Amino acid sequence: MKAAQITTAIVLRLISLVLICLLSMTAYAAIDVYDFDSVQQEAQYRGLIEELRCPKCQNQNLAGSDAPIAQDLKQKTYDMVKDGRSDAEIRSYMQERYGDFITYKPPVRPSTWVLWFFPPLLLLFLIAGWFWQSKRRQLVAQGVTNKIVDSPAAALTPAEKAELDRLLSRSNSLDHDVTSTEDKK
Amino acid sequence: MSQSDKTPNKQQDNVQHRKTMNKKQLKVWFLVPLIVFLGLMVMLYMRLGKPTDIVANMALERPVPAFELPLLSDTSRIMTNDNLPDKPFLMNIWGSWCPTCIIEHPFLMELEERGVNLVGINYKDDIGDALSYLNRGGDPFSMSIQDLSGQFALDLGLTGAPETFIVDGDGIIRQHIIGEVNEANWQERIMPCLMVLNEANKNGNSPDPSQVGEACK
Repeated sequence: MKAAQITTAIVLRLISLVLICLLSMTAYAAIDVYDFDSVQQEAQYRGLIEELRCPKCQNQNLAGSDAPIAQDLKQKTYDMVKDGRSDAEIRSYMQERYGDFITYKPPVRPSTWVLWFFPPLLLLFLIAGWFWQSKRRQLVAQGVTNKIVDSPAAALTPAEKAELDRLLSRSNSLDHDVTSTEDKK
Repeated sequence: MSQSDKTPNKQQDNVQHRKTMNKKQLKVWFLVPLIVFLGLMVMLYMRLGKPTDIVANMALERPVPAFELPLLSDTSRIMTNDNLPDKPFLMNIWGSWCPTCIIEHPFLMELEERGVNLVGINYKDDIGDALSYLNRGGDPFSMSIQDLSGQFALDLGLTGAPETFIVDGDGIIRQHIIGEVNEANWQERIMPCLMVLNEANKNGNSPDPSQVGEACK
């Protein structure tokens, strides 16, 4: 009896969840009143309004903006898509009027090289640096002595020298792990 | 015994090596965030109080885009670029639906009284609303052109209404004012620019680019 009740409750919940999903989808569809000839056209339109920026709102794409100018530009994009124009044509149409600002994907040209190539170059540089560094550490750890910049023993003060001797004698006599926490102090 | 004797010694040595190396490196690495931080501070400080809006207008220093649009007061008459004044003028994009245009309107009336030539572009407006708006608040424009579709505004690179363009005697756009025109920006940037353009127009030559760059920036 109880098990049956629980199952009905679960089923009801699932149904309501599905209904919610369906209803929200129809709500989403109600915003877009544009009809397209083909799925490709719709995909092209959606791609473009995601990529193009609303000139009024500083940091929103056309898809996300309700500003009048964004609606106009969406309409224009739609008209041009319907007209069978290519992405490049539509992009250049917008750029002619609103400059590089209009798109979130600025064209690659000398003035935008820094924008496009600096981040990957920096990443490469850092990875190379990191490799070099870890390689060097490894060599030092392996005891390849010529990798060491200066002699550490020479730079020791008498006090440090005494401390070093104390630790050495202790580790020798006890024969314990020198990297124990006590010695690190 | 001799083996166990040797190994800790060597380890000890390595630890010591690593420590000295680390000390030197640490000094350099401590400086890096500090330098980055200082650089950032300087950069941010330089930007304090500066406008944060990015204005990317392509219409500047270019002729008024070609248009063929009806006159608002008589839509049977089609206006083109040839009908624009051949003296420097202000081209104001307005609509009766636009709140800032209503705020700006009295100042435009005052500019007309001061003898400034204004051309209106009625942007995506109902013609009845537009005409009654001009009847109510007065008509500061020497002519108003009806841009019902907003295509001409799009060609101008408009971002919203109101916006104003300063056009010189040769029909080249010299300045773009986003938002309302008021006494403050009239004094600061519009009047100086217009004066340079008027001066050049009177002498019958195109304005000196460096002078224009100075006054109309």
